[in-house]
Amino acid sequence: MHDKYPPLYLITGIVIGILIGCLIAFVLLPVQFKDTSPATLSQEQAMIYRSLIGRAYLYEADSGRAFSRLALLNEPDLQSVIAAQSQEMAAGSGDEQSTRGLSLLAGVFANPNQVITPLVQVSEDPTQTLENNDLSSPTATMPMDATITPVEQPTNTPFATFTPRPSATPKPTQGAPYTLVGDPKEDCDVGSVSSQLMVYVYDADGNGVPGVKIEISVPNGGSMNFFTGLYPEINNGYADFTMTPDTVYSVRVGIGGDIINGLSLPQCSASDGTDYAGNLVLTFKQE
Amino acid sequence: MKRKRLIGFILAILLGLAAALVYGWGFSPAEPRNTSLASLRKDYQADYVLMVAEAYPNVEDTGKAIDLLKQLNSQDPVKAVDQALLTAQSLGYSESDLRTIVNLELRVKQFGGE
Repeated sequence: MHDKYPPLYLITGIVIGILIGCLIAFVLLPVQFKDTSPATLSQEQAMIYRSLIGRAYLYEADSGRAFSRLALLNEPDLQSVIAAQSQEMAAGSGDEQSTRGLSLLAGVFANPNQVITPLVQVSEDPTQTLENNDLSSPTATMPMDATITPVEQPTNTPFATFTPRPSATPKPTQGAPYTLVGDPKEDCDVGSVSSQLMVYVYDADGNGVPGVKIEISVPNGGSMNFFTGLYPEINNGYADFTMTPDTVYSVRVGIGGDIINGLSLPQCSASDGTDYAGNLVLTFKQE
Repeated sequence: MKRKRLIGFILAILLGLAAALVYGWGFSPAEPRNTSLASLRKDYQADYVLMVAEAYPNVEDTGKAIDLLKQLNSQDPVKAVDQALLTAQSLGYSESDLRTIVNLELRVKQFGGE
């Protein structure tokens, strides 16, 4: 009887060892991965990656390159992810250009032919002494160090580099200011969404313009920004903001636009006599 | 007898531990997730550096660019750019892209990013 069964203490020991080993191998000291792809990035690191893509898009205006980079993150609902991050960054203290770039990229889903004007780069040109180097050569990095020893080079005068500008419309960047069309419209047919400031921004041709910054005053002082283009399923130039009842807001659309003061939620009355907050609709158009 | 059992018990634990570690680290590591930018493959890192160079092209942006490069190499962001440049060259990046990275490298060095 005694010889038929293995000693229980040995089995117990092995089980304890396996449990400790699994704890170490999978939880405490998991394998450190190398050579990973962007699809495996943590949420925080993926946000950095996306915001960088958005900002690079503003300077490069190359939506193909931007989307091929975004595709590396392998996200099932890319449009929602971009829009959500853009909104989150706009609500917080995120980089404004990255926010704008992401909202413009969200607009590409609705308008694949959207072309933006790349931002102008103003920088010193530290590569000017490298003009004659063949950068495709594997040895190209060698002479570069030699050119940077003098920190203050007399030829390092800043100058503007104007990158080629596509001529396509709409142009979400600078241009004629956006002006309010008519008066703010009170919308009492709210359906499932109420207390919204709904803003539509159109260019001179009547096309919705994504990526336009809308500045709105906030009740406790200061202001915050939100952007058009995050809801291309509604309109490329659409943006909304949840207003607080009994609060008066001021809004400015785009750069150099007029400030629209005295905006507040409309009070609507239902057929049974109860009051409810409606929506306020503003339409802006480029002159 | 008691001592023999104790030694056997400890050896059994070590055996189980070794088996689990070999399995967990060698044969069935968890799928990579929640990784960092520093763990990206070299070609992805090169594109990341190119993005930094594209997104922060101006001299006054260099500080922010260095912060982002430190995601790849917290100790030496210049080294991250150097490595990216070598990778970009080996992958046949366009001359325009290479110049963009070189421009960033020089700005970072001038900024004192080493």
